Amino acid sequence: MATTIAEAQNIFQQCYQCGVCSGSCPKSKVLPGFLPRRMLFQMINGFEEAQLDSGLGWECLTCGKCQVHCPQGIDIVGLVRDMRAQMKSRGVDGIVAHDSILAPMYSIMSKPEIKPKKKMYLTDDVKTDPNSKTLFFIGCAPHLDAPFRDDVGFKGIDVTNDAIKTLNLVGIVPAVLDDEKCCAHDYLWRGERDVFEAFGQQNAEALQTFDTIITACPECYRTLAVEYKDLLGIELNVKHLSEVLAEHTDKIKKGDRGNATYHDSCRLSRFMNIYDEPREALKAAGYNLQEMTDSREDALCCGVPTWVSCNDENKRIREQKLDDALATGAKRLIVPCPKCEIHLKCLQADRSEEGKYPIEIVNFATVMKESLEED
Amino acid sequence: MEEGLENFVPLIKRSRGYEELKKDVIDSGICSGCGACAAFCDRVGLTEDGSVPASDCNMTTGAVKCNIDGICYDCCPHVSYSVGGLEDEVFGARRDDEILGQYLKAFAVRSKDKEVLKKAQDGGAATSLLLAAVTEGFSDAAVVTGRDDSWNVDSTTSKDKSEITSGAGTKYARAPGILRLGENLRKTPSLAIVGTGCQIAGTRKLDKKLLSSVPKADLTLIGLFCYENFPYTRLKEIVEDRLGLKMEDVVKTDITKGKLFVWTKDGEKHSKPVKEFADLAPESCEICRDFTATFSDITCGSIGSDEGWTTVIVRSQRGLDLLEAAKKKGLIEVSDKVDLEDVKRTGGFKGKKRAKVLGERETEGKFVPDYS
Repeated sequence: MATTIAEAQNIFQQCYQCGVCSGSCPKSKVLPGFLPRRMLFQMINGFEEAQLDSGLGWECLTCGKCQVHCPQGIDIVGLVRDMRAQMKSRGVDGIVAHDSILAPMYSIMSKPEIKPKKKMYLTDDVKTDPNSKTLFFIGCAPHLDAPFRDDVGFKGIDVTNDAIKTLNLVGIVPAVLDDEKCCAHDYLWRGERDVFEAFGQQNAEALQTFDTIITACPECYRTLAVEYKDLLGIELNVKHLSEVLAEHTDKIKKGDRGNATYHDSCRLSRFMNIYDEPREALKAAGYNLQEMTDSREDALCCGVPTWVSCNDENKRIREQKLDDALATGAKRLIVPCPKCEIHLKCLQADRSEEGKYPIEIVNFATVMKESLEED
Repeated sequence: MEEGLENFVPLIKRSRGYEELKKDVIDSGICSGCGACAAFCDRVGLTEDGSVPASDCNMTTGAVKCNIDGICYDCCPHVSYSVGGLEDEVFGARRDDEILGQYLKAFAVRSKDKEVLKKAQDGGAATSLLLAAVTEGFSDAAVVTGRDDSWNVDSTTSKDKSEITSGAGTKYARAPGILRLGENLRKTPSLAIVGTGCQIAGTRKLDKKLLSSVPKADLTLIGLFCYENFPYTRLKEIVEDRLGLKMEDVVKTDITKGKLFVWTKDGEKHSKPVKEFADLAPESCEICRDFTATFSDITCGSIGSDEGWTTVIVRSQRGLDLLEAAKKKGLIEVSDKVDLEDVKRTGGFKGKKRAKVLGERETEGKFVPDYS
């Protein structure tokens, strides 16, 4: 998937300029002048300096909605990723939200001698087995609990525990790595491939000892399954929680759970083609799933991938997303990605006084744990 | 130019989007199902019988609206556009005759291949030229329109001689060979395509609007005379309800001299005057101005030559080269015995019908395309 700019210029000689990308891009609708078609044109036709120096590449959501319908199959977000590396080296940086907390946190974690001690987040009722050949990759959800629990109501520690409990309830007792390092998805997509590689090398040895790795986070899933292979040459057998559950729908307890709608997080859906498995699991649990007008491969982005460009325009996209969810009449908006959950809850908290978005935003792992537990 | 983007290259603006396409063309009944709007965007799909777009582009209903970013409106052959302007771009010259279009020469052509002649409506020229386009280095592959026993039509991209030959014979069921053209060009950047007037005009608009930015992409366009064509369901109604035959038994169809001829497996030839099913003629065909596919490189048709021969109108240098190559290769024989007045006469009937229908549309306040 990865496309360097030199490759891109060669490949993009193929861009017809048909405009399907611009027509699909949610950002182009809220930020006049931001057009994927123009970005490609500039990058192909000798205007790459003007394009890079404009910094507009930081406005891209990298949600991939532009490229699912591209008749040439051009990897537009792959180009953006490489443009970001170039922009950084030219001193054109993007604005990363919450970076005063996140940057030191990840900077400390990137040091090989630092052990994240992830097991301390697990509650007593969670079963793990150090000898299991199946690993549950925890990811950063528990780390993000502290900065976002009080602020927006994101309970990252609970999400992690719920995901492992869900596995326990279908008969899987996975191993967890106390020293697990970040998958560094965000760094990679912000053009910092060196940081991604440094993290990856620290995880590589331990991860390769497992037969199967299960993740609850779509970003970890994509990164371990695809980027580890493409960029680090490490091939892992990675599964998303929803894929595991789709194999165990007989164990899910069906109840009258009312209307709900499901958000296709980009890294799970467009990037990894997982659309049906979470829906099957939710239907097995008895949810009456209502699709949003923009769903599946055309699903609208949560608005702030990789914490970049959390601005007024992206807020508009999040508003559209929640409006779309509300219009389905669902009581619950079920979200597989912890980051999507944070971004959407952030908007909801922001507007709580107005009571503008009366819908329960809840993580897929939590929902599934509920529907597997005994009453 | 948007504010703050002074260093940016202005993009060629699109005039309208799918919403207007739906209003002007699809809902007003003049979509001919040519497939141009769905050539580069898989959000638009056609109905199973290849008539009109099946489902509304979801970019008009969701939170994100494509609006004027896409190409679907501007490539439609039934919306208003400057025919002369497109002719300037394609041929560097404008037509003297409205019906015949811009052309260099006209001939009568007959295939030398018995297999082709057996299946062909007349002289098998279109199939022979398509074959020549692939074998003589004009295109890497051909878009072949085949049919199954029930006359359901489908298009595939092929380099294979026997597969190309198998596509011979007129199919009076709409076959949008340019559907997903963008994806086909991605696999094979150089394609030869056979099509009716609307399909060729739509493809030529796409060719000029989009393909100029991809140097490798290249099209050879072989046009067909087309008075009218039917969605599959209507063809079925004509054959089964009006002629009392079974679709599976039909081996060949032909419309000539005001009559529809249908050959069946038992060797029988059935016919009925076209007038008798005028009620089934699609309005999109009645308002069509392009009887002879005037934007092709070379157009083939029944009218204007002796039985067993195809009338061929050569429009561009590429069309002429293709004809010469096919002749040199021994695929076809070429004669000058062609009567263009006959073509003009038939085109004239179509023009009268068109004028009448457009007049009615104008009174009803429906969309009337302007080609000036």
